[in-house]
Amino acid sequence: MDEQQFKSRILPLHRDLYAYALSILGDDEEAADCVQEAFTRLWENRARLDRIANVAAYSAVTVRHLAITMASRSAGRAIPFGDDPPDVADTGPDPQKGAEGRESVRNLASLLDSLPESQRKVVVMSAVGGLSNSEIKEATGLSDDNVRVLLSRGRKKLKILFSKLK
Amino acid sequence: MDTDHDNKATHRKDTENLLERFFAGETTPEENMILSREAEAIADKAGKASREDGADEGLRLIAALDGLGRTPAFEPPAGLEDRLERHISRLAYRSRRRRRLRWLSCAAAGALVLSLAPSLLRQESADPVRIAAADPSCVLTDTSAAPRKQSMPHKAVSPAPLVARLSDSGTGEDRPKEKRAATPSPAAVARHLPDRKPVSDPIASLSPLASLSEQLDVVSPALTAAYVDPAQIALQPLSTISQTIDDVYESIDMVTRALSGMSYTFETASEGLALIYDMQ
Repeated sequence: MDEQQFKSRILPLHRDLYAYALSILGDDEEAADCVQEAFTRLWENRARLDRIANVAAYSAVTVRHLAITMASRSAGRAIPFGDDPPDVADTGPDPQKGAEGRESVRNLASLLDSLPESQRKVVVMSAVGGLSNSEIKEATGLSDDNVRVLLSRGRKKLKILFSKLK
Repeated sequence: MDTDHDNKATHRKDTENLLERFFAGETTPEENMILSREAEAIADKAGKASREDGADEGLRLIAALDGLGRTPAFEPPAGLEDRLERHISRLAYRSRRRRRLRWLSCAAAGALVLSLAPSLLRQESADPVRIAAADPSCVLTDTSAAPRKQSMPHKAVSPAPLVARLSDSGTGEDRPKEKRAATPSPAAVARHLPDRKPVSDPIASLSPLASLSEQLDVVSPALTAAYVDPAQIALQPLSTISQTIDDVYESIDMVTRALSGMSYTFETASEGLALIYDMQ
């Protein structure tokens, strides 16, 4: 894989990879650094990328491992949701469904701010980063039981708040 | 009809079990993906048949959680794409430069070895008798003609007398002992040395090529000088040959280290330039 092929195949993945990294690290700069480091590793393994069927999944796993390592080194930080409910990108071709989806996600994003920091962090790591409980444990330094309880409480609370919005 | 209904009921039951485990924080990422697919299916038929039960509520939450990564909160900052593109270009440039440096290092090392090795070999094989006499490892003690406990003076035994003695027709038993202990005169040595044939110039016998004749004229004396008479090598003690090989290896090692140092310097300088380029 040469430079142009790498740019055309891997560079467009940077949005999803950044979201993964941010969900785990909770810091813009660190997430950008993580994606850049992941690109370095992917470039070093570019000969292998040609033989990998799902390059996007491979790249996501690379980012996830790096982000977990970086997160385990630094203390946890808040997930950067602003004060205003954020806009949501188009989620599907159906305008009606897309509008409903955007509304739901927008509501959820604002509801997440009402969760305690520790619960919000593990819920986002699981939902956006796709981390397993053991990976969250590794990234946060919490115990297995703590991760499970925080995930359970966060999700249940979100469900209650989410149903009240309907 | 009943079977279809049963399947749907089983499917719904499985989904509810998974949801229960999801809200208990016990699901794996694979199970979360199954729930995400279910949530997507629920969102598709939300307008047609809405069942406001706990399961659907949970699946709708999961669908919203899945869309969370597409919120602007998780959008990359402006300029990240350009930064990454520049980073890839820099990585590609470094790879090309490393490849070039590696090739140049190999070529330079090869050229140096080719130019150094013949002169070293020639130097070492120029005078085997003198080299052997100067080599401390060649100092042997001749105990054949003296009583065991009597100390004898050490003397340098050159390979030429050794060959002369070995090539002598007698076995040694039929000669007097004092004669065996004596060192042969240089004239005797010269007499017993194998006849040396004049070294022919291997390049001179080739017909010169039009484009390469000048280069051959330059290389020819070096090759002639580098030619080592096998008879001379056979006359040298093994330690001298071994020393020569060691010298060659040491020279190669020195050249390699020097080249790697140069390579490191180039790389450092290049990284500095890349940093300056980034800052600009």
